[in-house]
Amino acid sequence: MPIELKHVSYTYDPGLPTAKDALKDVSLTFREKEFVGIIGHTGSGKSTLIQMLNGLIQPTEGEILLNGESYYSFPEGMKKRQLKKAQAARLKSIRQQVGLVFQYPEHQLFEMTVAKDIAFGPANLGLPEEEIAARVDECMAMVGLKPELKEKSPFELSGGQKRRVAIAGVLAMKPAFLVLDEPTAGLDPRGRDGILGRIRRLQEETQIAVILVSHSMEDVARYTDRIIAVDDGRIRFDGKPREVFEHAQELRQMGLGIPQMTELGFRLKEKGLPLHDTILSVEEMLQALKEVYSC
Amino acid sequence: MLRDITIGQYYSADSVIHRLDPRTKLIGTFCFIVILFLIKGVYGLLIAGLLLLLIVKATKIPLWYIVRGQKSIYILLMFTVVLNMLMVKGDVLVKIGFITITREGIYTAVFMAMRLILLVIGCSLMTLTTTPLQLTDGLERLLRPLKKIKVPVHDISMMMSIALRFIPILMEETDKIMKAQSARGADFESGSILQRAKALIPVLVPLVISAFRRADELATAMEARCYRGDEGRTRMKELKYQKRDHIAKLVILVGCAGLYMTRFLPSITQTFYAITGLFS
Amino acid sequence: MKEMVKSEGLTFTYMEETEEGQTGAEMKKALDGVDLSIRKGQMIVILGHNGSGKSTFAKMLNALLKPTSGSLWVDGIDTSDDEMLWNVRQSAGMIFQNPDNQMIASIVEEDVAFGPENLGVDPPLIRQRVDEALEAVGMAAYAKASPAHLSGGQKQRIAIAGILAMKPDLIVLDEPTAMLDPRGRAEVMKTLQKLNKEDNITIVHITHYMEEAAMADYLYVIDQGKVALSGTPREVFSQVERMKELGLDVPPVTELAYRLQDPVMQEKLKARGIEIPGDILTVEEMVEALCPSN
Repeated sequence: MPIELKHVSYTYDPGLPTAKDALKDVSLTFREKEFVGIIGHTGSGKSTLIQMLNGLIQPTEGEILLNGESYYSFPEGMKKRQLKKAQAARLKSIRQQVGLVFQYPEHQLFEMTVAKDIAFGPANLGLPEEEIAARVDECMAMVGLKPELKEKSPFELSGGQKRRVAIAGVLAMKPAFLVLDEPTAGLDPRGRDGILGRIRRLQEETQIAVILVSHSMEDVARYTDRIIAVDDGRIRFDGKPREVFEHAQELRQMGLGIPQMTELGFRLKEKGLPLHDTILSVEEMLQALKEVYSC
Repeated sequence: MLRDITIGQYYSADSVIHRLDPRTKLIGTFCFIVILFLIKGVYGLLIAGLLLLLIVKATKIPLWYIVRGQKSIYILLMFTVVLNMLMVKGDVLVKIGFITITREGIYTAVFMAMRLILLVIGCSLMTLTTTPLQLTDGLERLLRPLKKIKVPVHDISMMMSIALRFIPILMEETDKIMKAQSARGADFESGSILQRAKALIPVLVPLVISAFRRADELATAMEARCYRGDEGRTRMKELKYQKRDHIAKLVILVGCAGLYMTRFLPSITQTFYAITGLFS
Repeated sequence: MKEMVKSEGLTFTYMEETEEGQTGAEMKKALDGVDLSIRKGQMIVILGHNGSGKSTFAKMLNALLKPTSGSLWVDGIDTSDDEMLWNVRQSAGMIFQNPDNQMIASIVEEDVAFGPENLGVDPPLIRQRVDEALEAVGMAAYAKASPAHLSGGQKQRIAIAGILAMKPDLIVLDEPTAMLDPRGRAEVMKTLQKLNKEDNITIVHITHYMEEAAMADYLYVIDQGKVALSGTPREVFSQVERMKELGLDVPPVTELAYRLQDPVMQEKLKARGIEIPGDILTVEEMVEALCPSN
């Protein structure tokens, strides 16, 4: 059940002097069960891209499909009323299948209790009470929230806990794709590793596809299987972290960087150390150094 | 969509109007509003419109920018126009079922619409060319006599300027929260009025909480920068009337007098009746 | 060298507020007997996980909070002295995390002028200070711009200019880069380093980013309201295990150096004439240690 973007473009304020192209002819496929990282500096078009996946922004050109079904085109000859209904139904199904967690998602909490807030999504889907209750319990466990927090007000929780509640609220829709926009912004290292570790485990256990937008090259190198680098509304790189981070020069020009260990690897290679692969983590570097020095 | 609203927002440009003393602009806007309500005929409003267009030209702000920022007001405007057209009694022009459109109705509607548009453009010209802090400084100085009767003029104007500063931030935030709740399947576009009002709760609660959080942080930041009310406070840009302000005031006086004189133009309603008469 | 900040047994307890607005039961000891001293012209970084008490400390430096017990002096002034409140706030400027929530005006230069205006500085002098401050943070070209059109990094630099215009001796920054992207973070760090080196302004910078902490002259790690570790970045980061216990990171190269201290590995490296010190901070140092240039 992939999400496919075919020659998608998006222009803000088309026709006005303030018009700005946010995406330019992007073709891309997000497959099931993948853990994808999206990198790009602020204004590169990556937020437009992820909002499109969830049906919040409609492409000005091109097509976007979920499981082969277009987000916005419908068979011709439909009556206006019929069409409107079909559009609403499709959007609802897209939002159920592609969950989107915005930056600082804890700022969207509003219910009296944690359980009610998490239930908001499934309730909008019109699920029966028992199913909703079961999902609340399940999703709280998924993000590592203790069951006794259920009846607490979300506003009494710590920053990290609030964020987990917000993520659980999206997971409760049982999406096939989970899109997260910088889920660790503003958290301390322990909170950051806690959330990303949870998400990685979730992805491995439940096979949900995760699309992670991050500014941290260390994090995308550590957690993702594929990296998409966006710059000036275009996809500049798309591949395995090891492949993408080979382009250190270009990434730097895009205002991005590479993980510190990758950088160290390149510098050591320049000095003549026989390291073959691109190195991503401290572990890999240790392994490589062991190989070099024990032979 | 919400980002487009530019009510009360400053537009940075280098023009004579921008450089005028905020007090001059406040006085000018006030006179303009008063005169709009004294003008009796469409011709008068047309002349007022022409004058306003000249001022817009002088501000160097593109007209499309002003017009786009007022989209939401035009919806309100349409409402009053339609209401006027249907409610005012007089010579019947068209009658379809219970809807009757009268000559007087059309006339009043057109007149009201023109007056409202001019009013809104006139007021937004002031905020577009004056920064909120200047505006409040000007207001504070003009209202200074009220201080003697213990009106907290400084605090009121400070609050006003902060409110103007935070309008765009809160607009953007509303947009973000609505999107986030839509992503969780919230529906703002269908259902009865009651259902739609209820659907706004998940937007309003976070918005209010965020506004309080921002207010709290801003208050701390202001305190940290030694803000302690009006006491001992100086201004970088001290308000001082320049030569251009005196000229501007003269222009305002002449303009208003001229517009007032339009009351004595030959009856415009007659021309209007003559035109509509052709169709009936 | 002169002392800029000095604290002795500095303690702060958050009190529960009762309905009558009086202080009730003790809720949480945010700071618990902190002794430290910061010399003039230093660049200090304070680390600690969320809720460790580091933000409380920052607010105390600006006298936004007053010690429950113990004392804190900023530039020789006791921060609990009510009469000197405005002097403390003038000499210890403060920058917060969210750039939007600390801007008062809708025009850059008016915002920068806000501080000196509050201090009652003469109008022509304010003008001069505003221009200088904007120049110092490299934002002079944006004097008439609206903050709405600036990036996060630019907004934080404007906030710094707003403090500079008050002529402070010390700038306290409470996670100023937490909401910024890497580009914005780099801009702010560059500005801070320049102010510290060229204008000799003392900086107290609270952050979660280890690469920013590595730029400090001296580090304090706060945990549960107490100073848990302190020293130069090299001294602090080389205690990899202790840092992890405290819920903090160390730069990846420092971790690598630490892991290379393993005796078996050390021996093999020594056989080739390579010695890896345990307190490496940068990629350059590691390259030099592994492949000595001569």
